[in-house]
Amino acid sequence: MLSVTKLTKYFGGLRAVSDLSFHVMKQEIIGLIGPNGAGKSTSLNMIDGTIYATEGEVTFNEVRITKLPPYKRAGIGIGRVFQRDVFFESLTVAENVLAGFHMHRSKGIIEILAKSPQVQQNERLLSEKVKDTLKVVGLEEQANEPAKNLPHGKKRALGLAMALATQAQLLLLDEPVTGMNNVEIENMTGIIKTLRDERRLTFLIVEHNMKAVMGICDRVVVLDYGKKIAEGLPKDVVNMQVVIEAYLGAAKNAT
Amino acid sequence: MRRSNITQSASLLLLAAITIALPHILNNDYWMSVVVFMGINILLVCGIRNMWLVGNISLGQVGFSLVGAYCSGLLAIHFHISFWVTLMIAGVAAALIALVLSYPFLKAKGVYFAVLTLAASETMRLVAWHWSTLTGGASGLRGIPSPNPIHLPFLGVIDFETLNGYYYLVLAVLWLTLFILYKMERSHLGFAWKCINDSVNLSHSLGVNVFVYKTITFVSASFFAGIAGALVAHLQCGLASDPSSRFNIATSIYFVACIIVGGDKYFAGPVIGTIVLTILTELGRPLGAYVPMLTGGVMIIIAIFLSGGIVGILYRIGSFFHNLLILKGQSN
Repeated sequence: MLSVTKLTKYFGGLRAVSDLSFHVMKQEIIGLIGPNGAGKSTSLNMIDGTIYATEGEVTFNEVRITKLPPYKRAGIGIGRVFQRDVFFESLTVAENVLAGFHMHRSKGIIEILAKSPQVQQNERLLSEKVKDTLKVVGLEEQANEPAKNLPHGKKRALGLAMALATQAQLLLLDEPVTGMNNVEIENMTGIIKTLRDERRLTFLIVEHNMKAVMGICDRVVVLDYGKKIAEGLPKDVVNMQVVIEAYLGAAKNAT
Repeated sequence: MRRSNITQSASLLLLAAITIALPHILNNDYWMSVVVFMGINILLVCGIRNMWLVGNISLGQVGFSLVGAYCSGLLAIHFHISFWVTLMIAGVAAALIALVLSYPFLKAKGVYFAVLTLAASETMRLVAWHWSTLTGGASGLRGIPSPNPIHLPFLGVIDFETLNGYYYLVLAVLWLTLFILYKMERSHLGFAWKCINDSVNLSHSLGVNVFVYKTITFVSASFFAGIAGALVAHLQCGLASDPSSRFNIATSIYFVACIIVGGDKYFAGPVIGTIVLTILTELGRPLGAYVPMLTGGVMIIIAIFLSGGIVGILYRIGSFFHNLLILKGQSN
């Protein structure tokens, strides 16, 4: 479904990602792991269009999207949950999910002045869809609360709901369980698995929490200093010398 | 919900009644001219606030109204085209220039957009000032005709050469514009603006074409600025573009002050802000050259201590009393 070939990103003289290549098949849950600063978020940014690659190609469903603007990538089925700007602070939970449905809303000029019965009908259907999406992530009770009042664990769930609203086929999750306790992590991984099984969605997850990664990912790609150093099943990768050294090296530098 | 709709409609009707009766209430030509210019300013300030909502501060709207003013004036003088047509052409001309400028300007990040609009507006003013053959240069453009009178059956003639007549013209344009702007803000357009202002990256990832939305705001704000300019042209029956004219940087900054004083988060903010600062400026006339210190001082105090502006304060007072009444009701 997604193919990343020799992806490279230079920020001036700094090489953040170099020669990264991997595939994601439909309905797979792939983990992108590595020490801090390895270039994981930068790679996600190049896939969803937030930044453009310096070299290399990104292919989605056989179409080269390397230079496609980010808002168009949302239109072809790539959804992203960010690490920091997870949702819109000034809106309620339900309004945030509604924003996710933006692409599927009627946006004519006439609608600005007055809504025809057809449009009102569509809006009603849309609020039903919003409710359903909130149910999937377990947020239906908080629908009318200001989003910024949500507890931390639920905030990431809201981000996921918004990406689901765009009808994305491939979901890029940037550290979805960071800062969550064990119960919340179980919750989130459960939701992701259900979405993969029932809605046939595909996931590419950047994550630090090894337990979560082991529990949910089919395959794992390991980055270090912008390069891919390992790829394979989680239980295999975790025992590879190269990977252990990368993490230990990072820990050594940190102390 | 229904109760608040009734209070809303009632207050709107009251407001409409006051604005219609205003010439007879004031009965003073000087204050009427202040009110008419204030009404035209409100048109401009509301447009600037719309841009504010998307996260871009435009200091160049006076430039667009200058374009609209000269456009309308020159077409009226040289081609004798009716005011009602030149008014629309003025708006469209300003909007087209904004459209052309939007591509480079909106790509600029942060402060640079404001700087670019400032530069653009000063450029337009200087062009108008120096292109003497077209615009009369330093001596200004003279002889712009007032709009033709409208003959209404049974009600007589509406004559726009009188100040009161022109006031009703500006009032009608203002009510219509505010209606359109209000609808825009409450629609999916306004919703997208809120999202874009909050986070551009997130909006992109949800499929929102941020650039198109910013362009729409910029072009529509400039359209209304052009119309405001045309209204000035036919009111003054003459135009000047020297550095001390109304189309200069000081006016742009004054408009920003109006938004801050009124409250940029509320639709009524720019309206209230313009009214308050206009009254303040007029009452402070005895201070002469120190008037800007007065308006500037008010703006600073409100910006620091009362964020949300005057409308914000009114909301807080209103909800305070509302809560008071609810509590009283519960204890009864």
